[in-house]
Amino acid sequence: MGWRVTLAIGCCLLILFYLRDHELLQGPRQVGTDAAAMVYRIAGAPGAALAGVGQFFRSHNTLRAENARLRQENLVLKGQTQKLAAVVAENGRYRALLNSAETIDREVMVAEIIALTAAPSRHELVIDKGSEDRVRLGQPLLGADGLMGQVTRVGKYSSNALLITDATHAVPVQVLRSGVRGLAEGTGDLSRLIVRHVAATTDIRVGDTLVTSGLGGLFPAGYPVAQVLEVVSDPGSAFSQVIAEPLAPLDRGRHVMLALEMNPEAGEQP
Amino acid sequence: MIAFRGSWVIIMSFACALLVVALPVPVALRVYLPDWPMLVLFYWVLALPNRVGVLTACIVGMATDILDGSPVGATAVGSTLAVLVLLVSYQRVRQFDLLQQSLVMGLMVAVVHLAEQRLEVLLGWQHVGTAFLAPVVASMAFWLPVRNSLRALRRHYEVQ
Repeated sequence: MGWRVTLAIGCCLLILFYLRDHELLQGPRQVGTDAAAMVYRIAGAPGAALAGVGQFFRSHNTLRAENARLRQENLVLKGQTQKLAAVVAENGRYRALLNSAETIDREVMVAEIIALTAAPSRHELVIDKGSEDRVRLGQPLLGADGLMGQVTRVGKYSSNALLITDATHAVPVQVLRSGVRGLAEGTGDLSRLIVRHVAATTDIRVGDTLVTSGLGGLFPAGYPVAQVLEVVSDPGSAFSQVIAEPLAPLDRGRHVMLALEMNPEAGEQP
Repeated sequence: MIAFRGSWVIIMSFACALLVVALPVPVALRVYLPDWPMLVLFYWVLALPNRVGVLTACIVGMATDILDGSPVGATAVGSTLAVLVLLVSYQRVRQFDLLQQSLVMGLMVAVVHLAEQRLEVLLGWQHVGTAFLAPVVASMAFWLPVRNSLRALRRHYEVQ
């Protein structure tokens, strides 16, 4: 029994400490990610089928009401898009005046959430797009209302993404109103982010929106992240803590968007 | 040498445990769920220590790591250590009454998760509080049904 224990634990420690990011295990790692996604898909299949049946038997009236609502929403969004085009053009001119570089336009790709991974102390999603669909490591994950997380493991046909509320995650942010920068860390609670070490005299108020600052180069600048819920300041200490609530609904919804960098050759603006 | 029978029952029980882990459960309910793969593993170690040992423990641990997104090998070290303890003491643990047995199972699940958490912290992961020990209590509570159903399976299919 002795040699088996040594072998098993030795193998584990080797994989954990020396081969974790090694390219030797690149293939097995991809297969593992895809296999795990497959298991989640099978486990979720009965629920999904049930939801599908429910969808099938929805009443005509409900569908009509939803259709009308979506039409209205579409109209509003179209109007806003027109305004956006004008604003983008104007912004481009200002940037030219300031001699600063044009920000890269980003396309998005829609992915479906397969599952939330099983570990209770971790916030990770499994999504149905992988390296075959040009998903990259570190790619930002966006919800309808804001940033959700980033891709941490890529399989061929599926990948895993860490949510911004995971205790190991942090994202550089900026207060939209005043431009003050900070680092929004996850807390392990799906509805809380925390910004530590904010100087007590900093201009941050309850209700402020935090957006990505683009520092660090991983997340594109300007995506909404969270809304400030509470500023905890202790008169004795030099720093205050800011508690914020993520804007994207992290525990609801079926779809997410992956920000794609536009191909530099293809996307040259005139 | 005795011929091994019913390997597929053992393999299927592990597959089912992993599937149950992957079931979509609301986040709030997750802390009340036991560590299914480990309970199944411990049952087979107690029932058939000559067949299910540390290597199986290592493989099952790695499978759970891959499934729940932990660094591969962290749970495997824990499950190997726990199974080692069980292999040394299975004759005694078999004689325990149910309460004592479920306490031992809780302790073993705690060993698995403590080892996993320690290794992850070494690798730079962060853990908040003692949430990682949540499955211990639930595993103690679920030991009786898991043991009884697996025993029924083992007797029905004459796994030995």
